[in-house]
Amino acid sequence: MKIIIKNKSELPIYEQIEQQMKSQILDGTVTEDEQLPSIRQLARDLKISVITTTRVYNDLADEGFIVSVAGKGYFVAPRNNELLRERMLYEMEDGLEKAVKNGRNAGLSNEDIMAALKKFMED
Amino acid sequence: MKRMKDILKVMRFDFLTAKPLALRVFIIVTVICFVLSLFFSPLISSYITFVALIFVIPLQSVADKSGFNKLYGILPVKRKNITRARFLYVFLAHFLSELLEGVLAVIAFNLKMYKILPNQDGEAVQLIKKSFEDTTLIYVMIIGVFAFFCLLFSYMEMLAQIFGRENEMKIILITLGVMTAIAILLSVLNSYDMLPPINVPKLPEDIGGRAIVAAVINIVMLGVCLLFGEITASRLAKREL
Amino acid sequence: MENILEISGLNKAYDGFALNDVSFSLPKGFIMGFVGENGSGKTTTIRSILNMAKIDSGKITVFGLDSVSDTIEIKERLGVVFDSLYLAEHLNVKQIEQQLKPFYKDWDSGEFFRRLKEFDLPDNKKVGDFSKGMKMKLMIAIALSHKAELIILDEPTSGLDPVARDELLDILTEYIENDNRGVLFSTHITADIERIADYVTILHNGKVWYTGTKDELTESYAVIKGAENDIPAELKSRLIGFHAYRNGFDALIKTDDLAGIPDTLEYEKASIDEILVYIAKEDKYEKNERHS
Repeated sequence: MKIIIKNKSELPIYEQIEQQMKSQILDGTVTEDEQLPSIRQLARDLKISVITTTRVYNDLADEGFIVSVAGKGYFVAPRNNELLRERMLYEMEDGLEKAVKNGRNAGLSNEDIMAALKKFMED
Repeated sequence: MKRMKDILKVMRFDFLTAKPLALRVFIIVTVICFVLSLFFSPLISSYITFVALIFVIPLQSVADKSGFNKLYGILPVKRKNITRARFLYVFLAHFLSELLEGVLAVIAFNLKMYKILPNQDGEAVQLIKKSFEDTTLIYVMIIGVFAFFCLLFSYMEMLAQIFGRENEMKIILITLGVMTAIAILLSVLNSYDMLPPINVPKLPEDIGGRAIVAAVINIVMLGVCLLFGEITASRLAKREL
Repeated sequence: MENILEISGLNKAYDGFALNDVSFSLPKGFIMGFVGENGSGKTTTIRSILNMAKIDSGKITVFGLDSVSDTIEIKERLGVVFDSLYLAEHLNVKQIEQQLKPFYKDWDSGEFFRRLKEFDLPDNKKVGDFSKGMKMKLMIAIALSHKAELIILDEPTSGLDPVARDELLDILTEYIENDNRGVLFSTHITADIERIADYVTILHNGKVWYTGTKDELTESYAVIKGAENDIPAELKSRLIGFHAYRNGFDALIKTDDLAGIPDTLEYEKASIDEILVYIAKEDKYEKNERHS
């Protein structure tokens, strides 16, 4: 797994890691059931605090991306997990809702918003 | 038991601090002294005490310069034992050089190397020969130098540790002044016959008697060093590092 | 959670300076950044932990042991890195190893020389001739060689180049991978602890200004900027280190107070450095207010 932390990013470190881990889990860079480094190994590798990596793993486990196996560590959750899909759907809808709202606030017509969305899908 | 162990560890530490600074010079000068004493006079070997002082003298300035106060703060050893160790170390340096001087003097007396010097009947060789006949002088010299320097250096160590090195000279001068004043007073009183008569005991002539005197003087000096160490340790223990 | 270091109600007065009721604790397995401006009392606190300074009142426990009565046992298990070296300058590392070995029950010579190699420390050079970074690494090597369970660093990075500082972070994060250990890292270069510290204690004028997790600290405060006229009256008194200049003002604000501020004011999250700066400014501001 590849994780890059930007110190100057507006996002807190834990969110940067969460985002990168999520996307690598979703696009299959890290495969199902693969064991993840322990909380303390990850902290050492990234030179960040243990509390930060603990938070990352707790959040990812809560959202169903990874599972904690007692005594063994953390593993990537099975990808066809229904919960995960639902969560992604929810996040997509949430994002779209915000996008539409912001677009309307900016005075865009429905067509303009659709065009912008299409442009994103082509990228 | 634990205390003695700790004191030994700190003495070893002090020795290893001084060793690279002192050992080579010590060996060279000792060998030269020894060779000279073999040919010219056993008295020369009593010089070793002066040389051995290079194992003691640099310690305080190394400690100051190298921030040993911090080290003393983190070592798992009681502060008092660190101080006590220094005084035992001072005693040991003097004691060992006294012992070495004794051994070298015995060797010199027995080898009588002056006999291979040229011109045996010359005035110089006659003088040398005389010095090889007088064992009392060398005995007094070795014990005397030991006792004097052991007292002086453990006393100076106490002053330096309690009052700081920058004040040490001042205090030594005051001490010398007081001692001189007492000596003058005594001699004045003496010249007016106002002092009670004192019988100075004679030095025993046999080897056994002399060994006992030497042992007593050594034990007294050890006691003095331990006492000074204890005084210093209890003064320093009240201070912060 | 078990605390590896616990300080409660520590008081210690010197002429013109005092530690005032200092309390904080470090749970086992974590790194605490110990920050504050020069003279805030960091070094006195550390000297108190080491029993080098005699505390007036309060209690300090390390590994659950009392810092005064059990100081010898604590020091067997404690490693300390000072801002300057505490070893005889004319000796090389081999001679230093010889000297220190008998003092520690758990001394591991193999580990010591492995670390020297890892840290690129030459074994034939006098330690007094080492660079600042090398001296720092030597002190760490000593701590690691007697299997210290807690490492206390007192301003180890002042005067260090960025490379050596980065190496130190590597060493500490490796060290803390073992969750039975702890690190108390005193520094005024907050960039060093911004990433690796789990907890932060801020000392200011001999008092604890903040102690807790670093995340909570950085999430609790923001830097707010804008025009002075836009500040609601009731908010102004709650700003920390308020500083007005010709074109506006800046100050530190609690994130709780951000709700309901006018849109004309801008804010961004505060770094530990910024928090320290505003705490110091607050002092000056208070003084000026009192005088005027």
